Amino acid sequence: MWLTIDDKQIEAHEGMTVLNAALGAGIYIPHLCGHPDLEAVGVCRLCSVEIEGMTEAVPSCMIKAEEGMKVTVHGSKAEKTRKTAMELILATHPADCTGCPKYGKCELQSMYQYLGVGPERWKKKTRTVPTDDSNPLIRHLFTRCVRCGRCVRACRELRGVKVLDFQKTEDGVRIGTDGNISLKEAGCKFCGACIEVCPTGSIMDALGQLNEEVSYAEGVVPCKTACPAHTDIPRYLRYIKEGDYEKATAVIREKLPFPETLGCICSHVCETACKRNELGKPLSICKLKRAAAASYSDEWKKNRKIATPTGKKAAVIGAGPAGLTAAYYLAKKGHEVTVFESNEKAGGQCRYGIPSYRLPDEVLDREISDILEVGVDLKVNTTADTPENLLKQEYDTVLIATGTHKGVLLPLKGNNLSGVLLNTDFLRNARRNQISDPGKKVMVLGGGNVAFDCARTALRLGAEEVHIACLESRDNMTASIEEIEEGRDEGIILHSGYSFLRITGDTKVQGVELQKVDKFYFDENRKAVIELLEDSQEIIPVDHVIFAVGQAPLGTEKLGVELYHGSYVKVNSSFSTSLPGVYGAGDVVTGTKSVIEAIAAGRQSAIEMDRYLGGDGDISEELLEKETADPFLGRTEDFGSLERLYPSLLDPQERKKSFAPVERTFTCGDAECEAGRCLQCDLRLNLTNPRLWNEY
Amino acid sequence: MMDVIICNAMPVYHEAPVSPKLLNDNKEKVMEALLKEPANIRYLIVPIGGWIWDKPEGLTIIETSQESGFTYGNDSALKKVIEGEKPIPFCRNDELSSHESRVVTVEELLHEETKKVYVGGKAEKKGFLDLDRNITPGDILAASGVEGDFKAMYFGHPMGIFINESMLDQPMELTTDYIEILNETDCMLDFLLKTADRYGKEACGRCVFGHEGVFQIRMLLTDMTLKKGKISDLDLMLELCHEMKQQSLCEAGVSIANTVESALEHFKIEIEEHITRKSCKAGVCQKFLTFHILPDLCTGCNECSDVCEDDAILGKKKFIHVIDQDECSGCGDCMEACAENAIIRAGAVKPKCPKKPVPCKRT
Repeated sequence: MWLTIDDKQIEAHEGMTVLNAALGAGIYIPHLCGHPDLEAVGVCRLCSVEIEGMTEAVPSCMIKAEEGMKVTVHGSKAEKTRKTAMELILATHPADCTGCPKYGKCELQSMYQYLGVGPERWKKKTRTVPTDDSNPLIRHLFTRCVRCGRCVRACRELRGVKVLDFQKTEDGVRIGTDGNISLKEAGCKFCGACIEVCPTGSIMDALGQLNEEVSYAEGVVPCKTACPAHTDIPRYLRYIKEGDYEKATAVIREKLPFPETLGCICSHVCETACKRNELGKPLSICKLKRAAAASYSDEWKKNRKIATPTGKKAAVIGAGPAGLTAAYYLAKKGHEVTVFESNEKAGGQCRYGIPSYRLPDEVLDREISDILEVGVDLKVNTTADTPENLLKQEYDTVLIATGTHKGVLLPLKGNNLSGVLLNTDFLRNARRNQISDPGKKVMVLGGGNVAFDCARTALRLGAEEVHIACLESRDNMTASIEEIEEGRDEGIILHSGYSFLRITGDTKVQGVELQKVDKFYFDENRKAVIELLEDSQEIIPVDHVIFAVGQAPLGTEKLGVELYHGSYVKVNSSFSTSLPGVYGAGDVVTGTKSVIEAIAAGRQSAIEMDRYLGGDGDISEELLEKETADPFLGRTEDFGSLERLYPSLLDPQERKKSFAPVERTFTCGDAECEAGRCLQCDLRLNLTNPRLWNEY
Repeated sequence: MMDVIICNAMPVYHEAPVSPKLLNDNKEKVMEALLKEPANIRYLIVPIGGWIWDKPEGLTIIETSQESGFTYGNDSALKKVIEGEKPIPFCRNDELSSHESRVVTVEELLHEETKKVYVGGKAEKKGFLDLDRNITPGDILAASGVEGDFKAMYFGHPMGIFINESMLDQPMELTTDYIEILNETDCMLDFLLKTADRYGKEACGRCVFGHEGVFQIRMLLTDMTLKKGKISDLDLMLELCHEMKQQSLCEAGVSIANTVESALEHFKIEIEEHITRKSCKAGVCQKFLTFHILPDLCTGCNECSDVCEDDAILGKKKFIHVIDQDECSGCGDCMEACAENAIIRAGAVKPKCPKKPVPCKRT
């Protein structure tokens, strides 16, 4: 239908309000209480217009457009109402814009500039309300509340959580919780919709909550931003909450291969960034991922796209997480990919570093075959030629992803005795079932996760007594809390805060002499300074010692590329080494980091390599339809107090006898409950951003 | 067939609970009439503790707080109550589409000939009265009587009308539950401010012209009671009231605007004198009270002028002291200092005092 606004012919469709018709046609009419996603209420009267046939000015947000309507926005009656309304609002609003955190983004400020009126002829009085920082995640500065009611509508009608409402106070009406209770007590789900719709600076994210260094959307969903591969965590948690594991896994696979592998062993930085940390414990994202991926199906493969062959060839040296991920994405872009692996199986650190009681072989095999089936040629038991030679042969580009498989041997007296082992060798041999005798009493030196991998593997291979000694105090150990506790429950004896003096014995290991550390710190040159406690030496009798104090790349000096810090491959910001066409990714570049970082590096280097081969570098994919999440949340009893659920573990005395997976997956019920704790921080980004007047 | 019918038994004024009283006194008739109304679902909304009988068939009773009295004069607010929300209006009664739900009052169900009202203030016979719907203020006065000299009659929400002495024969239609009688001890400005305060406390606060409009009215009137009023304030208020009548979301904004306009029209002089003559004729507004030293009681001890920080007291020992009204700030310290209780506060009637200190008669 057609109507006239200020002598302009505007098209509108059935059911549209006059305001929306005008805004849609690029005609600006000031509005404050109205919001595109909320029901119109007509309380502010800033949108007043005059309509032929109606004597008084009316709010255009409440009038449905009709065929042939004649609307005047700037008639004298409408202008008078509009200006008076603005003056009245400004009379009780803090006069100073400059100190307000909403400066420049405030809708009231924008309209005040547009209208050019002030409250001078009225009685001015700001109703000061103390800023409320007592709630997690959400800050209330109700001195600035203009009673537009958007937050009330968003909370009560759009989200159905019903926490905010109009409250009477001595000074007048403003927004708050009934009885002035905390948001958590009121049942708030901290979805942030109120923050998103508030036109002034009355409801804001808590101080320091939004990371200023990333974009707004990235700051609002910190889990997704913290993940090195930027998986859409809230989206897949929603599917898990509904019990739709297939869709959840598809969402994860849009950003990375190896979902179940990561579900078993990921370092989950997302959980540290999770906003639920402010409201109890973070979401058990890693284990929920495992639960979803464990009930695998091949549905997602229907939407997997493999491009037409490009005729280009890529060589990947190393079939670890970085190498296999890069191979996967390059093969999907249509290139012919060959992966060279010197061990007898693919997997890299996942196979030969992480024990199978943490990451079962079956999971790794299955997820590797999902990668290979897109057309990756895997050559095991094959040591690749040098990158230079590979380029001269048939390959157009090479990726070095050989990881860090050389264990560090400390220059400790007695480190050459029989019975001394390196972490890398020990774990690799254990995986190959090549360790017949792990020893009776074993001492592992080191305080990280790998030390626990070695210790708990030794235990399972039959060692009677297993010790771990490390320099760091218990609280400063780099091993995860779960490893430390699970190891303790299995009977591992921990000596934390001890320096290793020497290994005793003539030809064979007989013991390790330890001394208690008094102080351990790094000085300004980042050099370790260790002060030992006098007369605290003791010798622990053991017959085997395993060094687990770090690992470095193996054989990189033969690769013909520039190295740094000894044996690490040097790359620039595009993952390119000193040799054009040769790239590096994963631990071999960065030193030992997490599997997810290696996978993310595999993705990034695949992008760069695809570009190098003449492609567009776009490896994004959609494995399922994008569904708009339901904005309605509803009330959940005690939402704020819901405790984090943990998957159950096998009994320690039983599990230390075998390599069966120590941790069970979540039950369906537990997974749905745990996923239900998610604050769904991404929902608020679905709310429309109202445009300021200078955008019309 | 209407889907929902809501019977409103909530009083606008909690001290004038006309609907609850009618319900109490005529419960059977009201129930009968309500159940006869064509509807699928029936609600009855009463104040907390307002239904002391058994739960009736075919009717949902909702007990709700009486706090926001004025919102209960609005039908859309009652629709919110049956949804479990606060009584916050979203449109005027005549704009509410009635094809899904309809609101009726207890009175409408009873079809009584007379209108029950509550008369308060300075009436001789305070309480419920049954009056003709079309009546003159004079008849109301005859029924209620007045203590002292009649000055004004106020008709509450939704009428918002003041009647002065000269208007007693004016015929009017009664639609309010509450009538207040005022006499010579009432100050019209003070009463207007108290009424505006009430609107500020008992309305919903949702719309700009309602919440901020009433706020401005209260601020302007308060300044006038504190001797800070300006003549331009009156024009400003009238301009505001004109907008409020059009732009308030519900009838409460209209009735307070009517109230202010009515007071300024029919009691113009008494209200204006607060500004132009700095005088409160009724002697109510505190700031307008003046301090005087009674010459018959003053002993000239000089205590009062010692404590006066404004240096407003003239006189020396053994002379009758005089307060200079131009300098006096009204703090009252002198009154406390005087051992003879010779200093008083006067309102409308000022005592006779010498203009300058004269020798004491008392010793």
